[in-house]
Amino acid sequence: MSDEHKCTRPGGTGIAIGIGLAIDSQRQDITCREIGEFLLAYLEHDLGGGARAEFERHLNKCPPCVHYIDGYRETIELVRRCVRDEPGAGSGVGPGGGSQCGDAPKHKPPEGLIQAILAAKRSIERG
Amino acid sequence: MPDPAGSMDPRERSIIEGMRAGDDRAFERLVRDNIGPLHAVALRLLQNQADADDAVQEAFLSAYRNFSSFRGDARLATWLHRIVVNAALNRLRRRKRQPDHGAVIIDVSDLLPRYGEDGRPEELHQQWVRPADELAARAETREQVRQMIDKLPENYRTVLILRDIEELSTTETGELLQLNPGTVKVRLHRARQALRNLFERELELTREA
Repeated sequence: MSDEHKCTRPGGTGIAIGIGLAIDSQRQDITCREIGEFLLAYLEHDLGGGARAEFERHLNKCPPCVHYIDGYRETIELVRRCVRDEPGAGSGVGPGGGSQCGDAPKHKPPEGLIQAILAAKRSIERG
Repeated sequence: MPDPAGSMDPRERSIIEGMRAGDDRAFERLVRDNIGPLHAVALRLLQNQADADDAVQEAFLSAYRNFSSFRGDARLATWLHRIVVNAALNRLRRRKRQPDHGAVIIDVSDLLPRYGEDGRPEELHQQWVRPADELAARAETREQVRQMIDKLPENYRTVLILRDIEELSTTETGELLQLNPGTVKVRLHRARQALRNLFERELELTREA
């Protein structure tokens, strides 16, 4: 299956439109498969009002799908917490304040690398 | 993210002014203040100390040469972050043409949830018995999680790192990886789904595990 398989459909530009078409034209309810497929669009508020309401109606009556979404959210959180705690992580540098926020550096930056960078810069200056 | 001049950190302001005036000490402060987190970013993407060192050096020299393009409408750290991510991704692209280093890589499609003809899951999803904060408190678990992320194919791993760890937007991630936003979203979603499955299984997160 190609990466674009679920992203674009004729006449549509994204996941939200994809699920909108499926719900409006084919049936009244969505399935657990569609919950899994369009979960990202739901979490990123990319679903239109009707599709979002259908999504939430399904969740209200399907505990396994709620567990799936909870585990998906915990996965994101676990990745963030575990990777940000790596040695060398410092104050946030990413655009969202992301990347290592809150964790103090676990080891000093490599002095040899710093000296190599400073020497290379002097070399550039000398032409 | 815009940072009004009045709220800029005095040390950062001093570095910027020094860089614009050609002060050597300002460049050294720029390097020392930022190299830790930037090296961590490069190491995450490249998974190799020597490559990360090279990418960081290249990024700082690029920042030095092109400092006139820093307009001060973002934090200096954010501007440098973008440069080092770019340098690391360029190295990754060049490395792709080289033979694999023997790492164990999973097939993401094997880890996506499976459904029957009626759209119901083949195995009912269960509630996890331990939350992320409790799991992340254990050093051994943190290492397991990092190893599982490293098992993702590179095109999924880089998207996951840029979106979920570096917290770049879908648009920024797409620009850096030369992908359309839809492809970024699909890869991110599948990477998360695969990891969810791996975590659940390897970290024994359900009652039946």
